[in-house]
Formats: sequence, structure tokens, C-alpha cells
Amino acid sequence: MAVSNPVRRYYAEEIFARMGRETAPANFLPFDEPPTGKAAVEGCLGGGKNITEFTVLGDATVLRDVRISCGLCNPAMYVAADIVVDWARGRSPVEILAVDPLDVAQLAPFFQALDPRVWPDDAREKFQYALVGVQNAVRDQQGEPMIPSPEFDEPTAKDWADPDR
Amino acid sequence: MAVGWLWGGWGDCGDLHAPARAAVSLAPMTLAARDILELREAFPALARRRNGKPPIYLNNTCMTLRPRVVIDALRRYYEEFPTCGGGRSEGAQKLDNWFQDELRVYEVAAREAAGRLIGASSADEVVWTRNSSEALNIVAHGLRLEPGDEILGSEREHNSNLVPWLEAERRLRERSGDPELVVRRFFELDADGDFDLERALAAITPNTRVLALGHASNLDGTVIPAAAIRALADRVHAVGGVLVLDAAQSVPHRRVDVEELGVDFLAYSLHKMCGPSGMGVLWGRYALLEQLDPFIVGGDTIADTWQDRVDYKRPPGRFEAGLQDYAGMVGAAAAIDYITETVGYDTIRAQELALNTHLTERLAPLQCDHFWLLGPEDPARRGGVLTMSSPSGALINAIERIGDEEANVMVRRGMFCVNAYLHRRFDRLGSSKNNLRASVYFYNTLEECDVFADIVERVVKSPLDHFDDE
Repeated sequence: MAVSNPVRRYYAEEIFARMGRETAPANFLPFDEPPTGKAAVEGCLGGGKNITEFTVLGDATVLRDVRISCGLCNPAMYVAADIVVDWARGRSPVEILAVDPLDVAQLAPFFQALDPRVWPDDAREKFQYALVGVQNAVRDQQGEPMIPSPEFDEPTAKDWADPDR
Repeated sequence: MAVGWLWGGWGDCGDLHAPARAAVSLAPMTLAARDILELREAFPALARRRNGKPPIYLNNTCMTLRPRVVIDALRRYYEEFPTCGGGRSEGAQKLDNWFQDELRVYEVAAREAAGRLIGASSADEVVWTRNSSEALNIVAHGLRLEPGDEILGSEREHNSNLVPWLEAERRLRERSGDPELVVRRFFELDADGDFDLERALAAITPNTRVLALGHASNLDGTVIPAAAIRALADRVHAVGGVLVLDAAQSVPHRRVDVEELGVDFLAYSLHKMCGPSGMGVLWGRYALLEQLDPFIVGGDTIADTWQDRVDYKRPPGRFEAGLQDYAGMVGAAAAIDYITETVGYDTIRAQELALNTHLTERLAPLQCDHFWLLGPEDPARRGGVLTMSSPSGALINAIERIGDEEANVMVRRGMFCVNAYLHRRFDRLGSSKNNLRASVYFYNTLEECDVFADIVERVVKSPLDHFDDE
């Protein structure tokens, strides 16, 4: 399916334009110190080597930083991962783990960060995968077992911000 | 640390008027078109069509296509003498039965051919393996290393020539009781990824017991010159060590002679040179093979067994556990004969140079802040390999996807089993995982390169237009 306009705009302006030979958006650079937790999800192209890895730096009270590492193929995954780690940074593990990735209503902060007017479904699916990745990285940090990523619905042309949906 | 991207300045992607570094000088002419067409007719896979179009196979660094003569050789085994071989190096001239006697003729000839290809002094120095990885594992497991010994490699070893040594390091740590014991060390390459003899020589210490090197890089095609390998072999021998050469990416493309190089062990794979899948070779100096502990043991590796002990065969038999891929041996001999006699290394070299020069001339001017080439500028130093890199995996993916869907182009994306090198050089720039490699062999054509280059050009000039349908 076509990449939605909000995803396309965010990717072009916030990510692609900031990439170069000598730089990348900060969320996509590794830490200078060993992470306190890490986890991976296979969300961007559905398996194989298309794995997005999330690393966290923090403790039991706060996540000081979160980063993404992957040969990301899908613009929507770039966008979703970027938004989710921005959201997670500075929050407590309890707060992060409280979000249910299967409940689309709870993904509202991510959609708001992308585009308040249109909540595209291609972003929804990637938000879910990215959230599971960050949550499992937090669980790894906490010494808790990670949960297997649910099979999220394939993206459609749906707009979750449309009241007539 | 030096950063290993390519040469020249760059502009914005999509800026057709951005100043591009002048392309490299013209290459030698490609082979006559009729010669290439004649060679291509030997490959059944090239006759296939999807959506009315032929395959454009540019993934030869991973595995090459197979000519009819190799396929026929494989079939010959299954149709004419599909039985178990064995009796290797035991002096038996007459085996048990009709089929075994016929198979033995091919077995012996294949081992001799595999050794002759690399200048081995005896067929008994040739061990059949599944691939170069297995060959290198046999050496890494079989050498009797002690805590305090050092293993040396470059910063860009293929996982097949890295992981077995990391495992050796782990075992030595356990034996020594020192979890911090450093066994494997590495030396840096040039900024553009090319080999630096002085750095390598300087890294050899009195404790170096193993120098394990990749002869040619599967990432960018760079090759360690023969004289450099000889110098390294002399130096490592002077301190009592051995030189292990991963020749998986060199033997298929150039004449390799173990005596000229002075190496002690060498690994190569037949499936990278028109041979059967899952066939490889470990060559070792016989005296060293005799000192090597067997890795995978069992049937056919032993001279005799009792309830409490085993006597192993002499090499190479002690390293070839269980029934072997006899069809693969027959096919291997056919592949070696095809490469050396029908095609010839001169033809391979000339065609790879012509094609890679053409690809480089097409793609180097496209370099920009979102797209560049890895390795040295001069295609003559990159064999048949051209690897592209980008901070955007979506751009790399679009090239691969469009190539596959529109033109049946087969290339390879990812880290190509040199993760450690790419992580070390490019993680801090966020681009270590976004690479695309096109690798040519003698049967590829300029027209195929142009089809691929056209797609790359289209995506790089307007990358944001090609991210749909991921």
C-alpha cells in the first residue's frame, strides 16, 4: 500500500533530511555507553533480517534515553520508532509498560506527534511494533521476561482520526 | 579512527548538477559479445523468464550460477554410481563393488583437481568440507592453542573467519580461568578499506600463533596482494605461528597458489565458482594437518575403535566424518575444469574489470549525502564487487525491490557477514546496516549492468518518490 501522507512528510522532513554521510538523527545513533536494556522486534517488513532493535539507558525510576538500531527498510517504521522513543525518553518504566499496544486509543500520543489531523493506519501498525520493542527493552533492563510480539493487523487505508471510521 | 567511505565530494541526492568527481579511466574492453553469449548458453538458469524478462543475477559473491556441465556431473553420480565412497588415503585401489570402483575414479580425480587448483603438493592435503566456514572451523577447533597465544586478523574478517576464532578465544578463557583474557586481536585497514601491509606486519607479536586473513573481501572486493601475504607468512612463521587464508572470494576469481603465498591453511568454496552448493575445501600442509585435532568425528574418520579408545585415520580422512557428498565431489571436479579450462581466469578477470568499471562509471557520479560507494575508487582494486551504502535503509530497499519487481535483478542487501567491521566503522554514523552489493561474474553483461544502474539512478535522483509498497 502507499505510504500515507503524514508518514511521508514526517519521514522526509524529520528523518531523511537529517541523514547524511556524517550524521543521522540522534535517535538512530548508538549510545556511547553500554545500554541497560535492549530488545528487538520484527515489524518493518515482517520477519527475516528486518529487525528493529531498541536500546535503553535508565534505571527502575526513569528511562534516561532510548535509541533505535536497524537497517530500516520501511519509512513508517522509521517514523514510528522515532516518535515512540521520543515519547519514552524521560518516562518511568511503569508508565511505559502501562500502555497496551493492542488498544489503538492508547496510541493517541504517537498519532498526535505525527499529525493531529490524520491518524494513518500504516503508522498505527508500526507504532504497535515500536512500542512492544521499547517495552521489551525496559523489561530486559528490569530483568523481567520479554513478551512475544503480538501479530498486529496489517495496515489499511483507515484514518483513526476520522470519527466516521 | 579513519572512516571508510569512498572518495570525492558529494551533493544532495536528486541534484543532477551537483559536482561529481570524474569517473575512473575507461576499462579494458569487455569480451566479445558473442563469446559471452556462448558462455551464457551453458547456464540453464539464465534461460528462465519471469514476466517475459530474463534474470539479471548480480549476487555472485554469495553464490554463482551453475553451467550445464556441472549439473550433468551431479546427475551422473545419481544415475550411474549412486553409492557410498570412502577408502580415501588408505591405499586401497580396489573397493568392494562395481559402483564403488567407478565412484572412486571420480573421487580421486576430484580431490586431485581441488588440490591442483591451488597448487597443493598432494591430494592428501585436501579435505572436503561443506563450505569455507566449515573448513575454518576445523582449523580453529583443531589447533592446540594455549592461554597466552594470540590470534590475529584484520578488522574486516567475514564471520566465517571471525566467529570460529572468537569461540577459540572463549575456550581459552575458560581453560585459563581468566574471563578477561584477550586472545584475538585485529589490525586496522586503510581509510578506504584497502589492506595495509605495514599495519598487519606491525601487529604480529612473538605470541601470534594464528594469523587468519580473508584473501579477498566480500564487502568491497579488495584483495591482499600475493607479495603481502608472502611477507606476512614469513613473519608469522618466524614467531612460530601459522597463516590461515580464507580464500572463498579469491579462488573463484584469480589463480591462487599456496606455495607462492606461503600459507599454511586455505579454505575455499566451490559454490562460488560454478560448483555444487555446499561443497568446500580445506587445504593444509600435510604435517600441520597431522597435528590438527579432528573436529567432527565418527564414521569414516577412524582407523579403528575399541570400547575405550579410537585410532583416527591420517589426513584427510580423519576430518571427513560420515558419508560424504559424493555427487558434490563429481560436480566440483567438473566446476574446476570448467573454470580453469573452458572459461579461464584471464577471461574472468577481464570481464569482471570491464563490468565493474562500467558500473562504477555509472554509479560513482550519483554519490551524494544519501548514497555512496564503499571501498577504493579504482574498480581494478575491487574485483567484481560494487557495494552501495546509505543512511536510509528505505532507499537501499527501494533499489532492491524495484530491481527485483521490474527487471528480475538479484543483488544482496545487508551486512554481508562483516557485521563487526561495519559496526566498528559506521555505527556512529547510523549507516552500518544499509548496504547493497552488486557482484558480477564472467557471464554478466554490460547491458545487465546498465539495467541495474538505471534503477539505482532513478531511485537516488528522487528517493522520496520510491518508498511506496514497502
